[in-house]
Amino acid sequence: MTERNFNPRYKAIGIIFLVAGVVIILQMFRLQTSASAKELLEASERYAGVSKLVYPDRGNIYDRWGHLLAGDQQVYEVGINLQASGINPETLATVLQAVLGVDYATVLDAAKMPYIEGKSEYVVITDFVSADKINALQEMQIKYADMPAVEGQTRPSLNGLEWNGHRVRNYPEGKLASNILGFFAFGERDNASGYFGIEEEYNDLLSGTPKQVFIPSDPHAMYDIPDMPPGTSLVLTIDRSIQSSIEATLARHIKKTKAKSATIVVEDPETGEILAMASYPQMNLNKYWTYDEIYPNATGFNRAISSVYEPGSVFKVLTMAAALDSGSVTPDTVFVDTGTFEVGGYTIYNWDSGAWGPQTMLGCLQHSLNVCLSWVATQTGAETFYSYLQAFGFGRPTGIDLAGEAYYPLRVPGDAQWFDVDLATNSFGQGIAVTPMQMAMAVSAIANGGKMMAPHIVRSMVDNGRQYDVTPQVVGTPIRAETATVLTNLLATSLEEESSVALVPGYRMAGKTGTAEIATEYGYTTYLTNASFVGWGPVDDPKFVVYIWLEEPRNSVWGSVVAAPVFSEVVKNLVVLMNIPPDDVRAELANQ
Amino acid sequence: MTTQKLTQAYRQTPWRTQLQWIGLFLLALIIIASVAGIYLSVSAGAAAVGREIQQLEYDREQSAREIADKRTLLAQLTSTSQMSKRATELGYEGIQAGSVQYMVIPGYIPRQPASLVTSSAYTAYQPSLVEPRFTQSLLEWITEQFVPYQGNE
Repeated sequence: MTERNFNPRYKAIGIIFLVAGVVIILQMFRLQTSASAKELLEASERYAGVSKLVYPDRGNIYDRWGHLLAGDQQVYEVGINLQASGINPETLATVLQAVLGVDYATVLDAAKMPYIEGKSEYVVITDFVSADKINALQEMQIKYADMPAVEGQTRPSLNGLEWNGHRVRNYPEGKLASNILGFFAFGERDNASGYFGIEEEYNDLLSGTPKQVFIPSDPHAMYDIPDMPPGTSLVLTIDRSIQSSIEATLARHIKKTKAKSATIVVEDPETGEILAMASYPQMNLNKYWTYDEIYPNATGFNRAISSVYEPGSVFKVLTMAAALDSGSVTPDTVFVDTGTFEVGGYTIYNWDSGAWGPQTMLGCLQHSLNVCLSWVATQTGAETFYSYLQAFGFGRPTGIDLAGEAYYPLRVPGDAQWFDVDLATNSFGQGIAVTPMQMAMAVSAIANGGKMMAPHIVRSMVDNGRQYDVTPQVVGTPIRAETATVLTNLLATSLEEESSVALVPGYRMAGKTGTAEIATEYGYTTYLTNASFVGWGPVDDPKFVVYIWLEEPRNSVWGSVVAAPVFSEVVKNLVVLMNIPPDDVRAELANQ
Repeated sequence: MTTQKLTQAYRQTPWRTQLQWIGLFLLALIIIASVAGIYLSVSAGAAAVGREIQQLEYDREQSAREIADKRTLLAQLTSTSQMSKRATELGYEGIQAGSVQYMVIPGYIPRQPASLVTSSAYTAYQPSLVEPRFTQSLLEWITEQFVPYQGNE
């Protein structure tokens, strides 16, 4: 063969390759620009990965000693992967009914659903399944995997059964401090939020900041693994032991007095820290869906901050504080009680409608004389009296860091709704509405040498591994230190002289009872009352203020009968839990 | 004549030329096969590592959930109601205010409020570990090199 003979063949082969190449290029171009290419591109993007909003782990809540009050628990979502081969709907329905208690027909229908790409791939059977039940399912799955097929029958199998773990909020203490904590409605999954108390007030901090993350399906693809810090954890000022103790006391006295509700607040007057706060009714936070049953008709979740009421005679403490501080009266000022006091065209009577004759300010407080305190208020003068009330924080929220705080506007001279008689009625706690928290804050100023601290419930925040302590804030100094000392001694002597049931052996306490009639559509009633008690101690170095409110007690209407014993019981436990030695021991130790 | 001689002197025999072409072709084939092999190896390794990272990430999430779960379980087991019940079962009684004996213990440090500071603190700013060179295409890189950055004024 010569070279010449090859040329036409080479040329032919070359032309064939050229044509084939051109055809391939044209086809590539056609594929790239056709309508199906667009669909293909969209499909590839769809399967390229998952873009999802990743939520950080919710921060925990601890008591002041680090005991967990709110944390996370692992539960599972159980579903059927319809793409799996060998799904046996009957086996799945039988097993899931037996282990999880779900409806047989529901599972059967779900398992029989056809697999449709992008539309029907996975069906959720149930959620919030505990680890114990998942372990049981896992054992069953292993058992069924080894089960031999029976001729002529579909092989029993749990193919397609899947579960995925996720977190839910859990409150290890159940009901304890429920009124403070609030709850996190985890059932709403991605839209879940905190309700009431700490969970609502600090929802944003506890939740942290979610991040949008694209997670590619292609294992080659490089992407940042979202390394997200958890939400901020909170350390509360609450002492778990004190909280538990006052809740037990509350429950006992609710049962004993058959009161409609009750509230106890324990505050450290030096810092404004709330050591315990309990309000009845309470709820198991792990069953937050029972909220509507426990709190029907928008009943206050935490009455210590969300319910306003007429406090009655406990308010006389503040009236006397204003009068003493302004110099309107001294402890030795004598008032002759004739049993009535005329003001603004109305007549004021004592609780027993009696006339108590000449009384010092000690006697006025000790016998809780409305007539005397009305006179004291008029001696102070309306303008001065209300300026003191405003200084004590009435007419505005205390600013405590709990969601849902309520307050009632303070009617002052000049307001359309204020009348002359209000000065007298307000002096003994009628015609004025306050929350227990407002009262506790105001009285803490007397217990703390005139300095009023901002009440707060978060002691520190733990964020990014660092702990930030909350600095106690002074809200104001409504009265002088001397006034606080004089009034504290007056109220301590008052308790001692009347041999009050509020007394605690070994410890000198200051305090005052209160009984306020409840206004109804027919006027004030004598058989429905709000019974209160406010006290603090030990008198020489107050470590706590205790405020008690019993709503509509049934065994007695008097605060001195129903609320004073609660104070005594609370304090007897407090001094042990707070390691406060009796007065004589402390005096002895101080002299060493 | 001289040209013909010179051409003849330097011209290789046809079989040597063919051998060279075959050699070159084989060399190219070997290079391509080597590159393809290395690519496949790296690609397979990267895929395996990618899958491992995904699995580790899943394991880490699972572990974090289990730690949280265990912490909560521990708190449940040591809750006030449980501890009180256990103490009662063991014969303990709540102490009464009047029955406490106080004494001075030199150097006694009272219980301190909780400190939850952790040693492995997250840093506030975490720069991305994945640089653009690992993710951008050639076209994106060329565009970046030749198209000047136009930021907001």
